[in-house]
Amino acid sequence: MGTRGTGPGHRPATACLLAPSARERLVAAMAATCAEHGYRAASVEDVLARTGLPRQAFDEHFADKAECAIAALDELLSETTQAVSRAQAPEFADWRRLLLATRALLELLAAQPSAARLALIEARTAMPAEAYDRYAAGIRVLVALLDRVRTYADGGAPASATRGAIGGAELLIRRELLAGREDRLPELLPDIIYGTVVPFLPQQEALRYAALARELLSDGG
Amino acid sequence: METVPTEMVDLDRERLLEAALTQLGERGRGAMSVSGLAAAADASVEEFSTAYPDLDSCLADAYELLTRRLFAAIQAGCAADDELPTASERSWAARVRRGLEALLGGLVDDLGAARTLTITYPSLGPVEQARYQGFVEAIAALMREQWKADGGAGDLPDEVEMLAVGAAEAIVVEEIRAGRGGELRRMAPEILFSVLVPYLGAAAATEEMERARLDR
Repeated sequence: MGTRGTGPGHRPATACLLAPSARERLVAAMAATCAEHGYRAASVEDVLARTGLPRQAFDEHFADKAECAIAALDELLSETTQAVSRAQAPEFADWRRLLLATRALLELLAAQPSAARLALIEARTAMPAEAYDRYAAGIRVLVALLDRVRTYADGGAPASATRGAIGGAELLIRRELLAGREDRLPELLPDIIYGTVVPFLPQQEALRYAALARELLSDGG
Repeated sequence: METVPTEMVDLDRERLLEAALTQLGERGRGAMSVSGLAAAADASVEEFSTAYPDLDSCLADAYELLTRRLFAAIQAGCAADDELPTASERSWAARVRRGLEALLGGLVDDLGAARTLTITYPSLGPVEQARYQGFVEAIAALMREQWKADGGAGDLPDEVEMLAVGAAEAIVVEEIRAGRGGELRRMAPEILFSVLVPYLGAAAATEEMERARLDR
């Protein structure tokens, strides 16, 4: 087999190693198109127009619009899992892990507002069932994170309280995404931390964690 | 020229909007047509066209009707009632509970409309999603107003009402999506916990949840 070819994996000799691949460009363009028009109205043609790539390039990587949009969700889900994992250093106390993981997640969503919108808005209602499964998987990552806090609870909170706590954060994030204020997402950290721990800890302690989150924001540390 | 009495026009419009909600829930937007909707509402295409320029404008009005009814039910539930015999029944938490029960009751009584409200209509596009978000945020604003009117204080986060309403919204939508919407009335006490806990803390919210369970 020769070293030069014309198949999907081939790149011209002038291609920069760091430049996004056609697949990456298509995935990013799909997220941006869905953010602008909604998943239902988004078309492969819109995606191609954003990238300047030919239809053949799309067909080499994806069977249809849904597969490409789900690839965008998978990328965000993978990055979410990595961001949360990085905050789980064993030397940190549980509250600090939660704080750092939540901050990392908000920064990730702020940096990728189109993918965030696809995951938190479109996948929840407008996309095929496979996409909802990805959304639900992302929620499970967060539930697992919160369940560590739950071990400190004295038992009063019902089973649905964890889902509710994440729901409060989601509503705030969706508000900012829909208003195009994604840059403000990291500023929500203190309120989101409060909302996620208050079902499980004494209220004064939850307020103290919100204060610590404010300190973390102002220190930038 | 003979004019149609206003009441008749309003009545026809309401029938049209009801039919639009039913068709959206049962068939989805893609299978709807102006002629099909007009026929379902015992109206002509011409009458439809006099009222609305297109199907989406009609759906927007139908959604507005749905959200207005639910919001009115929540507002009525939350309204202060000085006639109630005990202080605990007149409390802010009890009013929130009645508002929540009114919402959940409205959803359970018409699960098709509940799905249209939370999933089918918002899925149509960014404008429709924004209308749904607006409805949810209006409930949050009502909570803020009631909390302040009740003299609610404490060094709570600025977004406390969004945390409260978002908690209920997430649980409700998950149940409706999973086809368990019929369980929402039974779940009212635990959803109440999630709504109250950002304001009152876990201990007081647990007490209110237990009280709601005992009252059932």
